[in-house]
Amino acid sequence: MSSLLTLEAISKHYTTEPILRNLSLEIQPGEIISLVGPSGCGKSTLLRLISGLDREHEGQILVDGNIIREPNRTVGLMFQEPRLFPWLEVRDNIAFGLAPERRKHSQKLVNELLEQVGLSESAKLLPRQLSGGMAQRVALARALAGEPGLLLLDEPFSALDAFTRMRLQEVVLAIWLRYQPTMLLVTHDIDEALYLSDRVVILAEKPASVQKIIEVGLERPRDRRHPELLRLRSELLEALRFAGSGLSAMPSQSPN
Amino acid sequence: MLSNRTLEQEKIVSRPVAPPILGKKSARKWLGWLSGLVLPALLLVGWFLVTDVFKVFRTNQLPSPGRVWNAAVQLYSTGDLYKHLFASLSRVLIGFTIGATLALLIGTLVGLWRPVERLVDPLLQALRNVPSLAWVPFLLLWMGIDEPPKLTLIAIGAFFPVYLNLVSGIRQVDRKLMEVGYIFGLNHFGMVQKIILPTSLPYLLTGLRSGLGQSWLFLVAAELIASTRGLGFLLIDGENSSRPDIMLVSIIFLAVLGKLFDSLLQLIERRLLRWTDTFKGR
Repeated sequence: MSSLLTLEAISKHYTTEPILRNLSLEIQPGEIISLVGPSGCGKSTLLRLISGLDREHEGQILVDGNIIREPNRTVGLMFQEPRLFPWLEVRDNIAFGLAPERRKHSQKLVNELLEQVGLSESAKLLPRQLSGGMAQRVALARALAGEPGLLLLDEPFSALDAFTRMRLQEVVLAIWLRYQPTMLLVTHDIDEALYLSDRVVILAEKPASVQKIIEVGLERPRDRRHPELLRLRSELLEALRFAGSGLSAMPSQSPN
Repeated sequence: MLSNRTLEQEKIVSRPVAPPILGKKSARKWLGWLSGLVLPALLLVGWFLVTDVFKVFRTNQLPSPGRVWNAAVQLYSTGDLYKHLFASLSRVLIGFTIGATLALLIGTLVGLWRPVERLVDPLLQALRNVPSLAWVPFLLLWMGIDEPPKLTLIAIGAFFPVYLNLVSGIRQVDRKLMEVGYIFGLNHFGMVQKIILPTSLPYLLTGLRSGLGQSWLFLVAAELIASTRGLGFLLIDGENSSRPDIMLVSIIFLAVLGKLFDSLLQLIERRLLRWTDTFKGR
């Protein structure tokens, strides 16, 4: 099977400071891959490079065999903040993501998306009337509306409370179970990473490179308390400590 | 797995407050609207007191409300009122349309492209500081005393507020929203149409309102100089024939028309800017 995304020896500097060093990774169609690593290690930078929002880098990024030179509809990106258009109702925000050729059926397509993210009742609301969780659902639906071959998610749920976050993970999972979109997820939440993804990629501290990859061989949907997940969790924490992280999830850190 | 009950709960919590019962709401709306009439009514009463009742002013200084009303009725019966109103209204509408349209075109170009801004903006900023009356002699010299110099003057008045507000509105566009546009493959035209213009709309509407206000100011400046019709002419005519009652008719019409037009734009503004999430006063 040929890779959907190939990262080949990616390096990047901001002025003189190296951000990414020699980072390589392959993602197969239909996979969910999580990227975890210390704060500010360059995960978001990597997503911006893959999406084409940022361009300056060394190495090669191939999406479906093509070099990404500027943002195009094959790669979708969902941000940490919803970034909804405040002047558009929920329905129109989602329709914004539709490819021009699909606008003819926008009514039907948007209704489906609204249903998938559980917002059928809220189609007519304006962004200012939404809670944080609802807004992020709209952002997810808008990203999905673009039917990207590869969906990048940049800490999509990190600004939400734990409860809402879990609900949205279920939404993502339900969508994946139905359509198997390929997703690359940057997250700080190791439980989210283990719950959703095929592989968890741990990045080393800046300049980021691949430190370790943990395979999660469990069928989805998974039981969050599955013993195998708990085992992988401690493996992940160990690796993250080695990656030089100050993650709050780490039990070993004590004050002073 | 999470239950349906919790799903419903989130929806209930986050749904906006339902509008209150219509009767109550519209009653409050009317009350709010009427409160704007309190001060004008007091002014009218005070005017009546200092003229008709206590005779603080002589009639040739400040005629009473009744006299002004009679003057208006008389102007109406001869058809002069209609003539003057029509002249002024059409000048304002035409001049404002010309000025605002030019401001829309130039403002969009300046807002979108730095090189155009560097080329055009310094000159416009300098011209902005020229008082309206300073234009009058030249406009008369170049265009004669007919309609063109008046329309030009009004257009100048309308241009600057629209231009300035539009340019600053375009510069308010959130870079983060533009990134969303790029991600979905919008080209430059799509960016302008779908992201930049909607963002700048509140500023544009503010500019249009203030431009329309300026149009009325510049209208009077134009009509004071050389005209045979219009509210400004009525003012001058009243002065020349020592008829302060006629002067007041003109002033009252200027105030009321200006307010009416502004209210109209305000109404449009409220319709179009339902989405803004800003403090609207307590």
